Amino acid sequence: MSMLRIRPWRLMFVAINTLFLGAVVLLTVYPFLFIIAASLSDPLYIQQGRVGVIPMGLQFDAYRRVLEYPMLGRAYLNTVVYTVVGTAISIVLTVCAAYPISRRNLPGRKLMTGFILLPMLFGGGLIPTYLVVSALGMRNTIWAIVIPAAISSFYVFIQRTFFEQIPAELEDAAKIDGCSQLQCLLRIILPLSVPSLVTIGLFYAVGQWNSFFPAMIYLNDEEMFPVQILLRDIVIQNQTDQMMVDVFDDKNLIGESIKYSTLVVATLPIIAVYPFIQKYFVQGSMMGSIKG
Amino acid sequence: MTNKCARQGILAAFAALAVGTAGCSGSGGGGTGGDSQGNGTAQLGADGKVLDKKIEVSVYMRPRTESVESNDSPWMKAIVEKTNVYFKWLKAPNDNNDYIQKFNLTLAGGDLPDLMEATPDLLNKGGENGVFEPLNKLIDDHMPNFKKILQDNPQILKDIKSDDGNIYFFPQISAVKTINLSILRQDWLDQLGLKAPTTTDEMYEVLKAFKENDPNGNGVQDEIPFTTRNKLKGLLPFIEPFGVSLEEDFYVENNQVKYSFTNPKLKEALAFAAKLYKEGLIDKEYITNDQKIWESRFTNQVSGATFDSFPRIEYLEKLVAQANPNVNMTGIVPLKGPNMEAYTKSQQTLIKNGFAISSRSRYKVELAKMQDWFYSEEGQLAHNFGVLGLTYTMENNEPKYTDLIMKDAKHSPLLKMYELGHREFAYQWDIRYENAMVTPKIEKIRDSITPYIKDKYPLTLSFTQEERDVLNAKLTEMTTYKEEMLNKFIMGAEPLDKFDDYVQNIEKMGLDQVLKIQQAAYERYLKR
Repeated sequence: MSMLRIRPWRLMFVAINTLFLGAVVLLTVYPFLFIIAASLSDPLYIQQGRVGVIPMGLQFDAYRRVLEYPMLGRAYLNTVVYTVVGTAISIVLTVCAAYPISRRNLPGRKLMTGFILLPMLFGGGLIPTYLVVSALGMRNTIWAIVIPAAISSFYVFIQRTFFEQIPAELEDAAKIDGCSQLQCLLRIILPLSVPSLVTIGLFYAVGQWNSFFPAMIYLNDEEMFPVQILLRDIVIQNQTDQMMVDVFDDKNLIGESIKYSTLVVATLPIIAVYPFIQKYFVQGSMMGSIKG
Repeated sequence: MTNKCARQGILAAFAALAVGTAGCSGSGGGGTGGDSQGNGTAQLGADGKVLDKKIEVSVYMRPRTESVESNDSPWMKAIVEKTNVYFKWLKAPNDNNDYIQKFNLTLAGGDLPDLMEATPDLLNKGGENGVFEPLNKLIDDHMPNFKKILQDNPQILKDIKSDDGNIYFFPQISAVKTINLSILRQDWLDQLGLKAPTTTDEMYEVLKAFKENDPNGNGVQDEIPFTTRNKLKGLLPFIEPFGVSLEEDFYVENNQVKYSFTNPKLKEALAFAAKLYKEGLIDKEYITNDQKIWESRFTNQVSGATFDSFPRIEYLEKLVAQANPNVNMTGIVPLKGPNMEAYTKSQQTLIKNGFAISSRSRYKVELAKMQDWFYSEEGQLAHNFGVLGLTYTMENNEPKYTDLIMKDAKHSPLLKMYELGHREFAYQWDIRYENAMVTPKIEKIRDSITPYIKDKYPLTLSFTQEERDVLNAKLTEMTTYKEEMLNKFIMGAEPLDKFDDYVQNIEKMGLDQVLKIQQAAYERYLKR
């Protein structure tokens, strides 16, 4: 067995690579660290611009204020419901759209693909969308949140490409053994597609978790608000519009810290999901796209 | 800046309305109020309530910080029990732009709540498109109190009337005109043995002293005497003393509408601002400053002067107090110019937002009666002061807030009122109500500005579609160009001898046409 020779250029490549990626990591991690530090800092230091990644003038008051917010529990529950229901619907519909157009023997496949491609280029526009949602009676219901956002052309194509990569022989074999087309999908194709399903599921879930605009325009009932709206309200309370004589309250002073602790409270749960599905994520997001 | 936002809002409203009217045609004229008594003077039913029967109406209105929306809150309970109108609040976004967007979309959707709050121009546009009910007849038949207010204050009538002669909304009428003023650090003035400036020259001296004499005492000349978060508009105190205001795009001279930004007086004003800028007395970054940087200038104690709204005096004082407990902020009256008496055009309009009734509401007459009660003396008391005994007491026939409101440990008086359920519906704001929002010190400064406020070019002009198209095309271009050029003049990027070229360029952009339209709209306004 010969010793593994490390060539100098190879070493240099590793070194530069490490340095470069290390810098990228720092760039991505810094905002998070700053936000966490700011949420724990005395607002005076934030206003003076002196906070870096280490909290200055440690305080937990901002978190207390955010967590004290009366509707917070309810709003979290709503967000979880919207995310779970929305993601489930999204995955089912995405598979239903992606599987047929991934089969080469499907007549009219090009045309259907074209139709799915269309909304990537043009949107329906805000007002028409709003009118459709209203006309379907979805306003002020959970459906206004989960249905219009249910399917994304982009993820359909990722999923389609993934399906296309599964060898056709596998399906043929299953059919010879007596599988129907639907059974093929459920028993053969889907179990093989778990990495990509988990990946696009995560994309949908993050989208739904962060989504705030549909909730703002379609929902009228505070009981139904997702956490993003509530947290946006908390953040905005501190802003004032120039023409309006603004209300002054001592609360404004801690406003800066509240903003940052709000950010942490809003994003932490969804960030916590990542480590658990990271292994699929790494396999999955690239897999479907190679041929795309 | 505000102007630009407003214009965008209007555009959005149009897009929405175009669709909205299509959606709402059909069943328009069903204005049969259930138990209308038809008789204008009989205000109260048998049991002293405004309506005989209990009704529930939906309302879309601006939320405020910490406001509680409940018919059972102490503040609202008295009001809904008296009027027999119970509210169902549709949750509205806190952010101003979000609020307007949802308002526009709701109009487009066609399924409107009974009562909606928005700015006067949005409501008038909705009314002209048939989304909101014209109120003229309702006012004549059912609203003696409101009618009296309009008769006693012709200016209010002029400001709320739409060009088509109809009234579409019930206004919130405020009592305070002051808004922006120059704010200075009194403790710095004292320390340097200076008096509050009253003229442009004195202002120059004060800012120079702030710059050179190290009032923050850190041994470094790091002071940026004047800063602002309002960009160009924040430099108003250096412009107005020369007889031209950035607060109005147009002004009227001998009945002729003219463009403020080609006013020859502007040249002298810009020269003064440019001088201050060059000597580092104005924040070099005034053009990019946002709220955060503005605040940091004060908390780091490098700035000692700004131009902002009067409640900010107290706000800044509390901010700086974290770093320096000896801070003392003050607000000063507008400066005298070389050949100009002190004045300002910065002001709040007396009409704040308004409330309009959906043209498809089942309760038009009922809502008119309720609104009329809001404008009655009793309604005013209930809205401004709340519940007798609980939130206010009567002393020598004067309402006075109780300690429950004024001495809350956690909240300022206004927030305490919100917490008790107070909501800003359409009614006349009492000056004592507005006083409760600020400390006595601020109240005094605020009132010292009032005599200096001059009327500005009316904001509530309305235009035909063709006129709007021209304005959108030409005025937008002119606005962008003038903004850019004014900043360049002030920052010295463009010498002031180029001012005449600048004026010519604006004229070439179609100023004539714009002025003609404004003149026509202004004359229509006068005739309202």
